[in-house]
Amino acid sequence: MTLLRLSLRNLTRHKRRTIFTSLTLCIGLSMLIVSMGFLDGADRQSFDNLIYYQTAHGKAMMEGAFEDEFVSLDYAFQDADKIVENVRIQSGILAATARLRSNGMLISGTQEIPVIVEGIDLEFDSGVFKTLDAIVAGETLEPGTSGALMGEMLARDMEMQPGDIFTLLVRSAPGALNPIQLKLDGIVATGNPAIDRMNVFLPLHLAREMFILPDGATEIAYKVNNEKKVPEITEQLQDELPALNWYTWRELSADFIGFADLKRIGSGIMLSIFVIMAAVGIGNTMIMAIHERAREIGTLRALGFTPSSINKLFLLEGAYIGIIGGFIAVILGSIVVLLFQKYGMSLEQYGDMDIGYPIRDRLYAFWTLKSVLGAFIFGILLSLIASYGAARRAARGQVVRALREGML
Amino acid sequence: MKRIVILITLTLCFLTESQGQTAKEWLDRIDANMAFMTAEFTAKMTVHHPNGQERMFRFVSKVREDKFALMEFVDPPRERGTRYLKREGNLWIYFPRQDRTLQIQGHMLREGVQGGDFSYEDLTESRELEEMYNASIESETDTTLIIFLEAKDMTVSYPFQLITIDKVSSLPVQQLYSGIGNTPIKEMIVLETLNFGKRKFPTKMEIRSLLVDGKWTKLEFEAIEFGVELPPDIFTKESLEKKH
Repeated sequence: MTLLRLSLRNLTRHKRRTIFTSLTLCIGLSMLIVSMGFLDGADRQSFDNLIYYQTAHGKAMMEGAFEDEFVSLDYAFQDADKIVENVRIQSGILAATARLRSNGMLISGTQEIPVIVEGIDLEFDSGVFKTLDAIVAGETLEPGTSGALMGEMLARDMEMQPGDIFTLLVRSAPGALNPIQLKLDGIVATGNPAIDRMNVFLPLHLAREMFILPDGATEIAYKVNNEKKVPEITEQLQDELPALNWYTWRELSADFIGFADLKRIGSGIMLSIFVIMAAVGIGNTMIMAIHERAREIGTLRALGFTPSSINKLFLLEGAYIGIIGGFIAVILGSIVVLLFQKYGMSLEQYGDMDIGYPIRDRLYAFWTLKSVLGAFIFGILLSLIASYGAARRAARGQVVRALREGML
Repeated sequence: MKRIVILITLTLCFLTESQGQTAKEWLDRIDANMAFMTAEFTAKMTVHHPNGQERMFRFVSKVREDKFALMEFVDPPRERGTRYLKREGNLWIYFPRQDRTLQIQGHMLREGVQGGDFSYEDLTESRELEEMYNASIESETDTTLIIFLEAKDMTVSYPFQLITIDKVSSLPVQQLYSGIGNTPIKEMIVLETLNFGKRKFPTKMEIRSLLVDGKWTKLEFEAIEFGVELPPDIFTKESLEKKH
């Protein structure tokens, strides 16, 4: 208790030094908290985007389809509607839908661009995906009609507006080329560049007609009622319907998740270096403190303080600096993270540049107790480590020399 | 490569009867012009994009019948040394910079060669058109004959084709390729034919996209020699990957 009081008093005696040292640490830790907040936000936003627009909670495909980078019809399958019906009655499944996906060429005037053509079931798709809620111009697709939706970036690249007519050239499943004229009904902005830049959506019946695949699909997407049970339900589906390969959204996004983890590690290392530099400042301050207070240390030793107590005293001072700096950093960092969580950060200045995440327009931070607490504890531990050298030096000093010469 | 040149003429091999001449007779006359055992030629391919950008490629090709071909790009410098080997329906590409050979198969066969309007499939297709299409004579004048081809099933790229033949030279002069619904996709026009001894041969042709305004590919034969001696081991992967 005495040590706690003494170390606190020492900090208050040297207010300016305490404030500056804590501030250095505080800046480093705040940056760490804000960065972690953005990384958590980017992950959360990316995962939401992937689930809402790309992977659903899980998907079923033919073996080899997942690895097919050309998105060809080589892996299309028949009886899709029957399979979807079967999926819907499985326990834990909230909704399921079939999609028919392949590549094609979008042609308008003198422009042609490769696209992904995706047939969506207008009756069931909204139960699994949010694509049809992401229309920002024009109108939605109506069952039985022959319109199309297009990603916002694609429409911009092709200089197209709702109501425009364009040609889609696709290769049917048997092999014959099929050029077909379509009207652009609406434009979707999902926030996922992979979709907004590449995709053309058609009613499933029209896609099946174009690709000559009646009752065909390339994937069955499903949504579960409890996200935590996705792996378990996917395994259950694999057992029940083994003709297809069933993947969880995490398996489907494995490349992205690996990339995001690497990015997190990289950013963590960069910021930790900054925080470590702040900690070196703490160590330096503590060394200066023990030299200035050599006589005081000598007196304490003469009054019966053991070297171990002196050691603890300075370690406690370091820890207090860590706690003060960390506490302020938690408050400051959290305020910044919460502000960006609410308002987000515009990505407009990056234009169409690929930032490595399926995000565009705005990036939102996300506050998590885990990240904030982690940064706080990291700050205290670092302060302790930084103070250790000085504390050890203070504990080993000779009492007589300290009292007589003011040197340790 | 010969495939490109005679693609349009082979269509005639199964024609029924036109006024005064049967399909067989047309075939014989065209074959007399087009068919060869071996040939070596230098050709220039120009790919014109709608934005006005043009890319020119020059290649030399050695061909034996319709089954074997070895083609090497000599221009532009970036493509120099890139080789294509066609061997009984299979196609390999050798990239000298990476010292890598890639077999073109599956979906890649449908991509355009060097971004042009000739697909790899056009190069490798070895089925005879007779197997794939039903033919009928659309119309006939004193100088031309137009033949309509309709695919027997939907496994062919172009389910409908319309071929115009110059009856005087016995050569196809125009070919219209259409997709499902008989919607025109591209057309090939023979721009020039030259005499090689008794043989007439198309030496300049253009393939034009009918969907994308201003996109076309032009093929010009700069030098052709028929009946050349070709070593038996030339159409092998060893030749394909041979370093200069």
